[in-house]
Amino acid sequence: MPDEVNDENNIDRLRKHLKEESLAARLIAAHEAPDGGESVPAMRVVLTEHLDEVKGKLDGGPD
Amino acid sequence: MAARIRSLSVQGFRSYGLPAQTLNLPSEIAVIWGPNSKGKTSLAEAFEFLLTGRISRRELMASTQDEFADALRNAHIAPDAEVAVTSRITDADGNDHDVRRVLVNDYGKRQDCSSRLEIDGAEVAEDALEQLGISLSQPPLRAPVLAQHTLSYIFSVRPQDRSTYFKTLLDVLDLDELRNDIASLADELQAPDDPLLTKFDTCIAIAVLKDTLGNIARTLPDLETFTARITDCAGTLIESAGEEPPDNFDKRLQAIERILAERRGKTFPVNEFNRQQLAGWTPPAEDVWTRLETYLAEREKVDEETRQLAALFDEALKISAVAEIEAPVDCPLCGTDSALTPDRVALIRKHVEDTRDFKTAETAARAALSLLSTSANSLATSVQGALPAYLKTTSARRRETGFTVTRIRELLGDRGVELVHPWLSSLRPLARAATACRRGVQSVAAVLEEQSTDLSTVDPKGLKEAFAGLSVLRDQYAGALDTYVEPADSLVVALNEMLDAQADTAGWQDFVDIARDIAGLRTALIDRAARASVAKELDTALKDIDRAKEKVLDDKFAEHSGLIQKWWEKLRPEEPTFFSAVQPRKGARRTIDFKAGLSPNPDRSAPKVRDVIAVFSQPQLHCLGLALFLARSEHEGTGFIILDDPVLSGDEDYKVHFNATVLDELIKLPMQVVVLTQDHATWEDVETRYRHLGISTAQLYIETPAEGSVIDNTSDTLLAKISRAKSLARGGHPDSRKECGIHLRDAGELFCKEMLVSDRRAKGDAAASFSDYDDKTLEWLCPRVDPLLVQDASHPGKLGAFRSTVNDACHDNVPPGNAAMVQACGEIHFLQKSYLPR
Repeated sequence: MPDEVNDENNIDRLRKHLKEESLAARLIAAHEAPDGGESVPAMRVVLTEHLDEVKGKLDGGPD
Repeated sequence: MAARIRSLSVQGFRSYGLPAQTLNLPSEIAVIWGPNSKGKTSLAEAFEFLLTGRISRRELMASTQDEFADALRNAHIAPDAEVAVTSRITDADGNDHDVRRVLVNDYGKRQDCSSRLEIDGAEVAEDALEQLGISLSQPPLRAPVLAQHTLSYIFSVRPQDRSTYFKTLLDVLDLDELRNDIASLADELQAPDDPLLTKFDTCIAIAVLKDTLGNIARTLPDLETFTARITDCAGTLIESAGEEPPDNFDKRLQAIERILAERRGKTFPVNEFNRQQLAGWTPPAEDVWTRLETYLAEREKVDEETRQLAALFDEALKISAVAEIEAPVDCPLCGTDSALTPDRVALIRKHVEDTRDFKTAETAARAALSLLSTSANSLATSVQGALPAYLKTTSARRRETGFTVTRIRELLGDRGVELVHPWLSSLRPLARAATACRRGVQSVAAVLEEQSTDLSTVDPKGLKEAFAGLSVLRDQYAGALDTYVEPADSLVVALNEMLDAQADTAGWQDFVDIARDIAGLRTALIDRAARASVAKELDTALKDIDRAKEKVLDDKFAEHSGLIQKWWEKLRPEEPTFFSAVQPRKGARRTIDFKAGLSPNPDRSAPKVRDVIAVFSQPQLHCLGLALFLARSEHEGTGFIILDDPVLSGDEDYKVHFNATVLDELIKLPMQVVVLTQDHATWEDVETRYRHLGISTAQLYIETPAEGSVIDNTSDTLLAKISRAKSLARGGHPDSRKECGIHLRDAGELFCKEMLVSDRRAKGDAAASFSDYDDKTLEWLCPRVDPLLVQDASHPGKLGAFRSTVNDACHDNVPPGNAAMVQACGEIHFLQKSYLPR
């Protein structure tokens, strides 16, 4: 039996095992704090923005 | 403090009949004894029904669900008798509530039961129990009720259900939901169905273009470079056909198309499928019919002779000798001498004036007829133009060029089976509709010709109907064409593919198509590449989350494993075969393993780890099931638990540990415990061990099946209270003597109430009841009982001394000594035997 039970919520526990700026961490942040809406659409916004960033880089031609 | 159950009344439920039987549960622990088939399990299921509205035994025994039809209602009660379980529950804030569950519909052969939950008399939703501090677990074991059939559940359940059980218990399903939500985002990254990309993928398979197109797909250069590469590709294709590529990009595309057509044509006249778009056609405007009708109206106004001579007069007036006449002259038309006089010319002029409107209308009518003719011809032209070329030629000519169905089938091979038939099916209606149009136009044209020649035959109404008919025919033709287009185009695409493959020009047409929209192609390629890149990132993110989730789950399993281990050790301490861990199996998302340690040494050193299912005995598995249940209850902070025969008969060591250690630990959590047992020795042992806590005891029996199970709250009887007090009177610890005092006070109050009620009933007061003395204390009761203690003058004094000792025991910091407590017990017991013999 552990000396003390960890009462952190699961998502916070999960975050500790992820890199801060990773896509996973960014999506989870959107999931946890949807901007006035539901979690999935909030994550969709993050993903779409990321997709646009990638498109923008590709449209600029190869590095 | 979590919720506590203070009483449970069972009416008409399973083995319990009418009227309701009530189990009193005033203390933190209760033990209830009943031999087999006397109502223990029904009582445990009454708790379960109260909290969940169903019994888990039915859900766990899936194959026998039908057999639970009508199982909740007692078989012997009247059909309209109410079946209900009622409980007094103290909530987390210490407030009492009456919680009641009424059966509405019993289980049927194929239907679930239904019930109504009420709290304090008002119907409430199922989740209202949470407001009392009662949180239920996940199905099927939702209620904190342990029964024999639930002990083995977690070992016998499907791996997926076991996994769900623990994930729900450990509260990690939110991570699964999060992961699923993120995984669902992959749909956002699906590339849209873009024909340009499909064609590009075909082109990249052309051997001579593979490297260049592959390179631009990878590097996605700027538009200028991109265009230059496509131009290079066009040149490469032309060179591969043995020709010199033109310098100009557009000319290169034209050259490719020419080569393509030539090569295809050598094998099959596929251009016979060519056709134009059906040009738009609208029926003549309303103005046309108005003009014709106006003509007819004006014509009516002028007589036949005038109409016939009007043109002649008009011509005559154009002759200056006639127009400017001042004296009679010879007629310029017939030559009669002096036939035209100024008066006659004036008359002619008047006739001409009269027919002017008629002439205007006549001109307009001719123009209208001309418009109608043009409209009809335009319809004929558009219909003809939209026909495929092979329908505009003769069958002999088609055979001559090799355009035959047989040839098409040969070229298409197996693909012809699904392509030729739909094409032919759509072709026949198209040909019929075209012929109908053509004949319709011919018929209308003939009428127009006739009426134009002889305006006297103009028939606006008939013409209008004829054009309405043409409009219908044109719509039918357009419909047939719509039906024809798709199967014909599919056939042509397939034919071209075959022809291109045979002519070594596969993908050329697609190249021409993408080359005509280079900017669109580049954008589509960028979009696809970006989506693929982000999809890969998302996949990596999901893998990261899976790994992180596994770590979180491992941590939580370790925490819960520790709890299970704690209860296991209390049940079976120091055994060399012991519960080691519950953990998810590595690499298996749905498998949860229970591990046992097998040690050859008394100190459990050097254990070998095995699956418990393989190495545990049945009593050990039984203990592990109980440890799991207790760990879950502790983990979830359950306020009370009901344990139906938790002790296996024959497992004596385990029984002692359970009675002594496990119950003690549960009460200290704190958790209210209700133990039901068929073992009388256990009942007595538990009652004795926890007497100092005011343990509630009860016995279950059945006198007649019709009356059903009866609950006898034995701890509430006068003798039981005296007996308990006696057992505590000699305790060395002051708390024991205080507890003894409390029991004695209860016993004294009960003695007094029984005396007063007996006396009143003996005097004819049949309504006398214990409840008349609710809230009355010994101070109030004793003076009223003293006059009834008439057997000996010393008896009122004994009662007075008893009251004094009890008062001291209940109120002083230091209770009276053992001797005083023993004496008080003896006095009340003596009075009971003297005045209220059993």
